[in-house]
Amino acid sequence: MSRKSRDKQIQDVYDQLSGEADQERSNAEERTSFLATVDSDLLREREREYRDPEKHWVRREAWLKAAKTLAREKGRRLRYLTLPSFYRLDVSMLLRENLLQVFKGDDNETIDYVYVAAFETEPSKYGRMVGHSPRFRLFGRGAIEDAIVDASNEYFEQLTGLFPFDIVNLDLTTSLTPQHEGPYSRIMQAIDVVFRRQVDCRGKWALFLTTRNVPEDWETEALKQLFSNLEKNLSQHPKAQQVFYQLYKESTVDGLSKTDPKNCISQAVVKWLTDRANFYGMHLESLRCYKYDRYSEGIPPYTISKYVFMFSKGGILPIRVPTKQTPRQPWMDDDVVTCISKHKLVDVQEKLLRLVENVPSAVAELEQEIQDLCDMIN
Amino acid sequence: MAKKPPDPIPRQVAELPHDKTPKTANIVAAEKIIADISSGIYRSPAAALKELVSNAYDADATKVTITTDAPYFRNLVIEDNGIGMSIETFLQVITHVGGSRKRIQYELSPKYKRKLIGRIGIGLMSVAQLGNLFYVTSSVAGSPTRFIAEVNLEPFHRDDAALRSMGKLKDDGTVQIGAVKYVDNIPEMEDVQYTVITVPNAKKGLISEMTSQVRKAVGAHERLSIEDEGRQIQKFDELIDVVRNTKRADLALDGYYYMLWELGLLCPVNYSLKGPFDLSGRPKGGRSIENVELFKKPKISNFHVFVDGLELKRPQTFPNAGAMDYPSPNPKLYLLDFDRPIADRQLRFTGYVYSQQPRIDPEELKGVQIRIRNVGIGKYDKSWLGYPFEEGLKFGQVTGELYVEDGLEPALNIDRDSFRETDVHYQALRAHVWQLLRQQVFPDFKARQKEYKDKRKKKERGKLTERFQEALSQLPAPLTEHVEITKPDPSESKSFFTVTSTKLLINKDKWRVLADEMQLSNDDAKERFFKVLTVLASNEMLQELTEDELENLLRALAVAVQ
Repeated sequence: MSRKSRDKQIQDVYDQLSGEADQERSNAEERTSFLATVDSDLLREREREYRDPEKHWVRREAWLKAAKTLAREKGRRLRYLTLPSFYRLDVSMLLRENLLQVFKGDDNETIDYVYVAAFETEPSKYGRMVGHSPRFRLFGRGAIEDAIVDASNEYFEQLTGLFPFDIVNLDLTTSLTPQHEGPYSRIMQAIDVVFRRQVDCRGKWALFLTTRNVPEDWETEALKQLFSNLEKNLSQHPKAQQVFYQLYKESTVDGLSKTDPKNCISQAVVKWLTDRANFYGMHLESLRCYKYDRYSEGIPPYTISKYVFMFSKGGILPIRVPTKQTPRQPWMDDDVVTCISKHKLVDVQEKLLRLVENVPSAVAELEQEIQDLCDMIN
Repeated sequence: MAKKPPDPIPRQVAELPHDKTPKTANIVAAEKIIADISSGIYRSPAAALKELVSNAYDADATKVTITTDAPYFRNLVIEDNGIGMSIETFLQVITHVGGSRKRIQYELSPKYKRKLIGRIGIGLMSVAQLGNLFYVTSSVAGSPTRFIAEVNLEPFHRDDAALRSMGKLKDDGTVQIGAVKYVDNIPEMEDVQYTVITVPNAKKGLISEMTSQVRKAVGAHERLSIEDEGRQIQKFDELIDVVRNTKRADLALDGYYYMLWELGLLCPVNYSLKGPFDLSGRPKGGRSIENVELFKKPKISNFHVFVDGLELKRPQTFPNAGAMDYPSPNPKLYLLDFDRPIADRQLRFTGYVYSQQPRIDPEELKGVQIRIRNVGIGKYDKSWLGYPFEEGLKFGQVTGELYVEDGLEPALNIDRDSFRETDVHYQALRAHVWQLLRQQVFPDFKARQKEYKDKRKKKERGKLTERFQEALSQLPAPLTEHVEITKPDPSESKSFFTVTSTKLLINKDKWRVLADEMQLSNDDAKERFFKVLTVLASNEMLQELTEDELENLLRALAVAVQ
């Protein structure tokens, strides 16, 4: 190595070491503090989540089935991006079914790590999870949206290198646009980047999205834009207008927002996601939607919405050169219709009640399965 | 030259007030000192981590898991399954640094009755070396909750200006060195217990150390490097093997692997299966270690430490590969056993001194390491606690460990990594070790070395004689018994020698004259002289010579063998 490049390396070391001053400053100013902004009750509440039979029913009936379909069609095990929480039930479930890509150790028997990229924001929970085995290909501490969007984030490069995934599971505990973040929230930006990075995915891939659907939580300007976007689509696509009316017995978005605001928000979100997928040339293959209410001690009940999108690369007709606008492809019109016609939120609680009528032990079985999956971590 | 000032004239002293009792004043520490303590008093990451492992040991943990997020080192996590802490205990410890109660001698842990080794408050402060902001979560078995606490030690040890802004010394003499935020009563299962410390945003200096950035920047290249997949290991034993065959561990390992290796030296864990004395690699019929059968390997029960999936072991393994077939006396163990009160406090320790030739490898294992209740205190002391004699090369050929079971703990400095040399237990320990070195190890070393050399020489000579005999047997009249110096018969008193069928009888008087004259008193020269003579006689080359010819020949021969 030449003396010049050696000097450059030394200079890089000095620069790197000097970065410790930034660490000290951000600690002093509490920019890195997790507890400075946390809601203690919410933190406590999050600990209970894994016990929900409703949530596990969606895991089993929606997520697992989608994963099996993908693995079957691709003829291989899957690569998975997720927010697994402490018991990582989703990962254990997919692992148990041999659906995840694994890397074995030298003995060719024990799993060294599994092709999962995962994130956890709560530092102490991260600390308790990081020793679990099998290890994840990437397990980051912090917000997934930052790791996806922010090029200066410590995980950005590594995570970018792991794309495309076969399943992206954004199991959020908040609404898509929390009020304090402005209309175009960080997570919406992250979803957009996910679509961009998934462009290279061969065949189908799935997006699992979970949000808290409480109208008061949402950023009002964001909702206004999402509603107006949906309204515009309805006016431009008679078929979409038709299915919208059939489904909601309302002819306008404004009307629906008044009679059933939660459903309206959910529909607008699904439409926005479909639009973003279309923008990156992805076609909506299928959509399933679920909801259930959660009743927690000390806080008002709220609705959880869960979506399972399946996308694939859409064909491109060589009739228009792309400019600022996305050239419309015939399948995009179909997607508009699909994202409305398939937006039928399955009420999981009702489903479970009916299930219990036929199989009284159904909930107990779900709970047992949760326990079994919990026991899979060590 | 300055003039010497006159002696002061004694002044009349005013009558002083008479107090019946002495006055008192409190001793307070400067804020900066407290801040310095909290900012990191540990010489290396391993030394800091060792304190946390010690705390886990005291908490009856059976497993400690350290995760470093290698090779990025963005987050460090230390998790143990010990009895955990309630939020009240934690706050008591963390808000009163240095105020943790003094260890009562013989205090035991609740479940496994382990003799306690750590200091919780100081141990937690060791985290500050890794990152100034960290999280602690803990759950106690039987409690349905856990807590999460965020400890921020900034800006309290940034600089003096920051320190001045940190507020006044409180009435009770304490000073604020950080802030704790916490959320308690977080639901948790009742049957679990743990303590987890998470250090996000590990310090840049630490990352640089772990990844050996400075060393790499100047062109150093280690055999094991966490940043290079081709130079990583899967088992801790591989690390031990690499170091065992190297001159300096720090040259063979990058910062991360060196930290692992050092942590193995310091933590209360078992030796590797092979250690500390392993002869499995010796050649057939090779050497043994004297007294090895007397050594009882200390055992740690129910305690395992894992770092990134590798289980730590104590890495000492002797002899080194180079010493397996080195021409020297066998390696030898000298055992220590001390048990007596010093200054009304019991000092009890055992240990060993191990000697081998050639030198001990790696360099880091030369000298002696003191372990208090199985925890290594600092690095190996190459000076053997300041041994006051010069022992030359032999000093690099001994290593040892002292296992202190009782006493000495008060001699520990606050870093818990070095000793206060004026402590009476330290002095007593030193005396015992030095006595062993001075009276046994080094004299024995010299004596055994001489004995070995003599034996070896004798053996070589024996071989040579055998070969000589064989060569002689090929000659026409081989003399099987070689040479004997005798008082000759009067009839042959003039001849220098007489040849019989088996030997050459040298005339003692003549030989004395010749030996004196030609200075053949040297044993080696004498031996060579007789051998040549035997060869000539066995080849029947002497019998025909006249007395003069023979004398000339003998003189020439005497000069030639000098």
